[in-house]
Amino acid sequence: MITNRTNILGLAIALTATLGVSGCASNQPAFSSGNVSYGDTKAIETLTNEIGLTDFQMMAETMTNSLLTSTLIAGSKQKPTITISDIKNKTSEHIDTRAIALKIRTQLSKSQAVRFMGDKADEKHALTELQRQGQSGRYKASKSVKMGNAEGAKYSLYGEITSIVKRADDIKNIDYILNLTLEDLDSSEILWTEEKEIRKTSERSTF
Amino acid sequence: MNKNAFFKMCCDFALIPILLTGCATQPLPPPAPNLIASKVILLNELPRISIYDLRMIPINDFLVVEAELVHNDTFSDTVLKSAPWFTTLPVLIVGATVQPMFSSRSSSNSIQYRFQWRDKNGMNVGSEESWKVLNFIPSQAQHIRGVATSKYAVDFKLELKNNN
Repeated sequence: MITNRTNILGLAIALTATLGVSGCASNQPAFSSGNVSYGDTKAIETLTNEIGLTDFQMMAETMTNSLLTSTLIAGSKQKPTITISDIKNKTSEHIDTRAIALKIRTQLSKSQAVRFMGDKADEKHALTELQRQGQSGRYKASKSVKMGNAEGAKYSLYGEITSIVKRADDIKNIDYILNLTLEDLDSSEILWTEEKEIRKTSERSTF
Repeated sequence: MNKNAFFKMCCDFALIPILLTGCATQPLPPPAPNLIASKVILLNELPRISIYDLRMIPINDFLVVEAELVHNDTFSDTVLKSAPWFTTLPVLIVGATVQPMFSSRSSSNSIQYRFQWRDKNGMNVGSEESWKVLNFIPSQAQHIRGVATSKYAVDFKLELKNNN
């Protein structure tokens, strides 16, 4: 008799605990499906042989390192003023070449060795803001920015990215070549040029 | 072992790569034990790769580091095992000499590397670098170069790991 009572009491406690726990669990929001994880963006990514963030990073680092140790930086009493013109995409892939340009600009800007002036894309934003300040009537004339005070860059950074694609049986090889040039806009002298080559080879799985 | 004997041993070790490679013609600088080891962060076993040379100079106020990494296929296992520095000195750098940090017999000849840059207080400066792959063919020596993108960098660490 006592044993039966004990068993029923134990069962009731276990049932209550289970309900309590499951009740608590059901109230908790699900923060993870278990299928998503954060990765290291600095790790080498070789999911496909198409151009990716790792390639962008390597290109930007090579260009930044080369420019920072170039004679342009060594011979400048004042920080050179640079604007990014254009990096042409001559590959068959869609590549956001401005993303490469911005990576290079970010790294060079952080070095504080050069000064960057707004490029064509930046100018749109600047002009919009200038018009807003100048034409809305909301801003004091003495406290708003004026047209005609911008400083032009002395140097233009431009270049192109090309690729060579080769296939043989199940092997596909892509060579990417990024070539950048820094030109003195006054004299049109090419003061610095650098290239970065990246080879990516993939083999199609037979399974 | 007294100091003179240790110094003589270091000098002897310094001659090993010179005799093997026949490249170094300049007299080597005095020994600086553990110099390379203090600059390297080894995340896992490397495939028979050792660092022969590690140099650091400022260019345009930016710290530039150049390292020479060598695939050690030229060293037979017998040489490795019999070399006193391999077992008794875990890391030895004598100017430009062997640093026997390799310990794996992995067939892979590929490693990844990147530099970390430190300011005078030992804090990381500059953006975190991406990992870069370095492929070796047997016995090949390769140079890697890193440039600190911050003028505050005065020291560095070289991170190395197997590419597998």
